[in-house]
Amino acid sequence: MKSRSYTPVHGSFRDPEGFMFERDGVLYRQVNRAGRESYRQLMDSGLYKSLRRSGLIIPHEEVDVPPAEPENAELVIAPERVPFMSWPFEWSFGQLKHAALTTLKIQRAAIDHGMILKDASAYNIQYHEGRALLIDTLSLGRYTEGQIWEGYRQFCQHFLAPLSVMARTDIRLGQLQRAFLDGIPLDLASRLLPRVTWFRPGMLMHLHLHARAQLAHAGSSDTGTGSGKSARPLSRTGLIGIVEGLQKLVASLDWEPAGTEWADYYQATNYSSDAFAAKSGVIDEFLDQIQPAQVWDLGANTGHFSRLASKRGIPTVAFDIDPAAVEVNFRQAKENNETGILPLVLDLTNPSPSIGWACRERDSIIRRGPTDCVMALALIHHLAISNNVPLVQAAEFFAGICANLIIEFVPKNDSQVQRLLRTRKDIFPHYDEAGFEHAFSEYFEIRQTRRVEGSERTLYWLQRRGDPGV
Amino acid sequence: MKWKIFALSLLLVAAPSAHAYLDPGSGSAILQGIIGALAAIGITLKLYWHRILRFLGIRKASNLQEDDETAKAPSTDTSQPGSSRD
Repeated sequence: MKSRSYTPVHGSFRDPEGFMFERDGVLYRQVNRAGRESYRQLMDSGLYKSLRRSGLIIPHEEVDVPPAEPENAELVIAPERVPFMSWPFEWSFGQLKHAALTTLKIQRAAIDHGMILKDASAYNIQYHEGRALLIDTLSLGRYTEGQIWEGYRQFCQHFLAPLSVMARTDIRLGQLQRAFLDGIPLDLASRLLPRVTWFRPGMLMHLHLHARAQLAHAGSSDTGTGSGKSARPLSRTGLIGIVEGLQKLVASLDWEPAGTEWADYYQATNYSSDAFAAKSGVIDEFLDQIQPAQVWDLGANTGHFSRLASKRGIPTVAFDIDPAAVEVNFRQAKENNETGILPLVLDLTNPSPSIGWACRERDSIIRRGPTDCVMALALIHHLAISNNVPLVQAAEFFAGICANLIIEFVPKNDSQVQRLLRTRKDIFPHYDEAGFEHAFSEYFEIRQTRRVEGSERTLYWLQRRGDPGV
Repeated sequence: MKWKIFALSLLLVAAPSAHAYLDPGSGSAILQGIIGALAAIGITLKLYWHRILRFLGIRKASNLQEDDETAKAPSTDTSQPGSSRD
């Protein structure tokens, strides 16, 4: 096997115009000779500058480093690194919608500069410092009047179909994106949507008739889509009409977070406001000592405690299983222009796996770690009691994703645990503070312990022994 | 022209799913041509409609956006950082 002086970035192999690679911990993009024209036009037409000004594209610099594959290389650029890559099936409804509108906004700006977004993959959009932006610099190519938008189908599959079924059928259908890496097949979306959506002109054309057209013309090559030239040329006005029609349609799709299990959690919790403040104080104290570069808050709800970290300028990912809580969190972050917090949907009992080609295209949550510091507040009873995870296995999992762990132990006499045990047999004889400390000591050193005043709960700062074990 | 498009749309609705092999690009491209043509007609008609209204003094140029259905989409002015919020 040929030894390489670089590591190719998995998931960046489809575009002949270039690819991402990593060398000495720095992320680069090689622009191939095939991508020279696109890249030059992006930089010379003023489009890059315009997109940068509105924060819609990842910033990059041209750098003088050896290319990964010199035989094809035109130049190498170094894009700014996004600290945490998130996937569309981890986004709340509002995040996916915002990403869709961002894609269309970029497309609209591109057309004005004589360029076109060739594709429309939701994976090309990332949340970075509180904004959705395009990370694939080579997605933009020359636009020739008459050509179709080759990424139109992809836009409908990656954005319109999931947003529509989430808004009009069931919010949980967003998880279909995890099964279908190239977006939800349109015939499936069409079947899942209520019949009344056939009377919405936008949904009728872009989803229902689109699905029919795909089935009707499957296998035919009369349109020559590969060359981007349709048998029926698409005028510039027509293309703008499609983009603006999609903008209007996406903007009209809405979902209100309500009625899910955690929607009013903070009101329902048995924390008094004094205990709440005391808990915040202890977490602040721990963060002061740990000084983490990045924090993952697991079971973050709407991100109250995540903000203790993000407000210090620490990039913080706030995970929660409930799409409503994540939506509320996202709206709050967006309204206040917060740059440090990224809310995401994650079910810890079945976390994001590695998916795509060779199981490496989109990394699992574990592969995207380990991180400096994990917060697991009011979480352990859900793992240990609702999901029967032995404490030692919970400890092993946490040791695989972080160096420092701020974890809250919720004892059996706590009313929240009582509520979980009310409808089932108590098969957890070792679920107590001693059992917890014993299990976690296998992987972590207990640095500090604090009883949360006004409650039965205890907060721990644990530090991992050695390297990540999983 | 419009009738031709209408007839084509009908054909699409009625088209059976006869092929087993999927090449989703073809259908999407044809549909895009049709939607694009419809959108272009719509935009052109609206433009003339507003010109007529302006000519008759019923509407001023600055009101053009208000009830123009196709232009109701979010602002596409990318020159202002704030405008990217939806």
